[in-house]
Amino acid sequence: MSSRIVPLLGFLLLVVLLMFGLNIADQKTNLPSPLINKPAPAFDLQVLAKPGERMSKESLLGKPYLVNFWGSWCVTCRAEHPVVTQLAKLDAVYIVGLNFRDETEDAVAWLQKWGDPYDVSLSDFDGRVSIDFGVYAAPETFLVDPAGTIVFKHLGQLTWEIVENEILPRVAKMDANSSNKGTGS
Amino acid sequence: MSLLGTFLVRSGVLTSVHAFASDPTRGIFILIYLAVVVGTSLTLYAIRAPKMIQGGGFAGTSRESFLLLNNLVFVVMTAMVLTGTLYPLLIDALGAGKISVGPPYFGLLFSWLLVPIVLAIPFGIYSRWQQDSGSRLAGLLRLPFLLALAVGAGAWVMQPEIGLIAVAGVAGGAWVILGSIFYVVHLMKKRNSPTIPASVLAMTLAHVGLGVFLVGVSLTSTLSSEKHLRMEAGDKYEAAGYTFEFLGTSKVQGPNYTADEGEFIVTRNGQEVTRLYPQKRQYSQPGNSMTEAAIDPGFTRDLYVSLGEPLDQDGRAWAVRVYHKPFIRWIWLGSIFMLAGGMLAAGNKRYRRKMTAKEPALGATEEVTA
Amino acid sequence: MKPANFIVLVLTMTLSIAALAQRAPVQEPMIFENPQQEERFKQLTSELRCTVCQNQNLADSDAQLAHDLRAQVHEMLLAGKSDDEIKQFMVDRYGDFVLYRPPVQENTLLLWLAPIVLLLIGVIILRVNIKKRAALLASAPNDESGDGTS
Repeated sequence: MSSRIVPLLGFLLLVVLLMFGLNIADQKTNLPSPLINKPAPAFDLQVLAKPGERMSKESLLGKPYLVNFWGSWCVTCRAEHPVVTQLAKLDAVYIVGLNFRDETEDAVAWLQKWGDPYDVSLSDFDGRVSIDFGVYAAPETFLVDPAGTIVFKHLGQLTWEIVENEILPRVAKMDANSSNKGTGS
Repeated sequence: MSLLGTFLVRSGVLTSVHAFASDPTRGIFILIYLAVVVGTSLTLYAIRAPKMIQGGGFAGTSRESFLLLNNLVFVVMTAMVLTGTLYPLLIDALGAGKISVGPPYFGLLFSWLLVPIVLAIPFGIYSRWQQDSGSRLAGLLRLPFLLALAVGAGAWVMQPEIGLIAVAGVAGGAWVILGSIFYVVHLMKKRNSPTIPASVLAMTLAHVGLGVFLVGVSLTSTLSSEKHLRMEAGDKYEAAGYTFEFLGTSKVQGPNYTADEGEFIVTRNGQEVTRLYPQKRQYSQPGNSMTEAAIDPGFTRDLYVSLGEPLDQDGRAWAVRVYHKPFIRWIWLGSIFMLAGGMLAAGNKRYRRKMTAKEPALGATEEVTA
Repeated sequence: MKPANFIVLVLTMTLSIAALAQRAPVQEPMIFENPQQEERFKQLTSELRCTVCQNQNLADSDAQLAHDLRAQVHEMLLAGKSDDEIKQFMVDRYGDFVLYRPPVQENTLLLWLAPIVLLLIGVIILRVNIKKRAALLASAPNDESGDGTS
């Protein structure tokens, strides 16, 4: 009798697995980043529309910052723009706009039309830096700590919920840590 | 399996070339249906299945044993495909990461699992029902075995670049084919007749089909060549003794598309083999472009050419792909043989006869054994 | 375009990676130093998965990222990197997901061992069953010939 139950039990386990699969079906194309808690890739990029100026990862060490990958060709970036703008108004964290695979004129026009929420905009024309960050869709947003380690990544449209629940608390913790260090030394 | 397959491709649970119209809502209904149908049948099985062994006894070396071995390996193959397909989902469910399982896994394991089957087939063909002896079978199979090794060695000598695995594949295919043919000859001698029963023909067709398939896969996967190159009118490219000369493109109008049609002359040893006319089509509704490859099929090889993109403004230089695929039709041919053999076997009258109390288990065949 | 490709293209448009309005990538054939390198390129790109069009490998995918990553693989091959180094480059950025051949590691042990284990279990069950049948044969009265002629 026991051996004949086995197929049924096995099948029930399969159904449980498939039910799980259905639950996460709409998110299954989202890949977790292997870069979480690893150093952010080094980069050295020209500032958007300013041929002489450049910015590298080194210059951003010492304070937490957000890197928001976007392109003027990206519809979802337009959709998340109000959230990014609102976050910029809070002045809670330094926001780097990383424009990738985009013509400079298109990017500048996009920012002029919809508003520029970024503290600085960098241009990654050939997309090399985006590959180093493991970006495969747009928009993607990374939170980097003062030591240059990626602590959080969000794939897709940024919502205020994500900002409130994931980004701001982490930034607050990092600010608290650095001010503690300040008083301790 | 069928219901599970329907669920997998429709529900959005898997990302796959085979998934279409993925819709988790629809998936729920299919899953419920699957659970009810399979769940109740398995429950019935658990409750009602009789406990006695069906059928009679048979020895360790017997036709029955070989059939059981065959079934075992096929079941493991099927289970392997199922686990490979669902494994990424399982790992995701357990929060252990996101991995992919693709052709490298399935191809590798399928090939390894095929080895015991291929080795056993000629033994199975010759084996008697209920009781047989390993040494008797070995004696009968010595010659086909040596010939198969010779075929493998021949392949190795003629085309060493295919590598040992492909050589093994060719030898294995030859082993199955030769084992089947030798048995037919053996049977004809025993029955003193130039004919064989339909069931034996069916079995032979199916096994020969497998052998042909194996040879085709081994040779085509290792000897095929694909070249992506830039060509202008007058350029030539040589592959496997064939010379492909690009003559240029011309505009062609189709019912719902316009196309750039390229012309290629294929020659071998100076003789023209064929002319190929691949097209790069622009469809009007919607404005997609498609490439239509031009194929020259053949028993021992397929040649094909496809146009990629024009590489300059006036479209004189093109990115072209040229393929030479030896023995690729053997894959289809082998499959057709297997299908024919299977259908012939299924049509056997004994499955449509009423069983009487005296008859042995339904697997018995009519052949006379030595 | 195959239906599956079309649907994936629509899906990826919502993440806006392969906007057709972008500069169209020209498929200039790649130059390799030797046939082995070209073979390695084909092998590598067929074993890497496209993260955008996830039901295609890197060799077949038409996504912008796939073009860029193929160029990346090409560049690394010309620079003398090994196959493992190239695969590691991809895994470092995109995770194990991009490998169609699952690496043999902790979370894939079950996957790689399952067929062997199943086969062994099957062989054991087979042996037990055959022994039972052989015993049955030995104890059965010998009134039937073993040939099953009909």
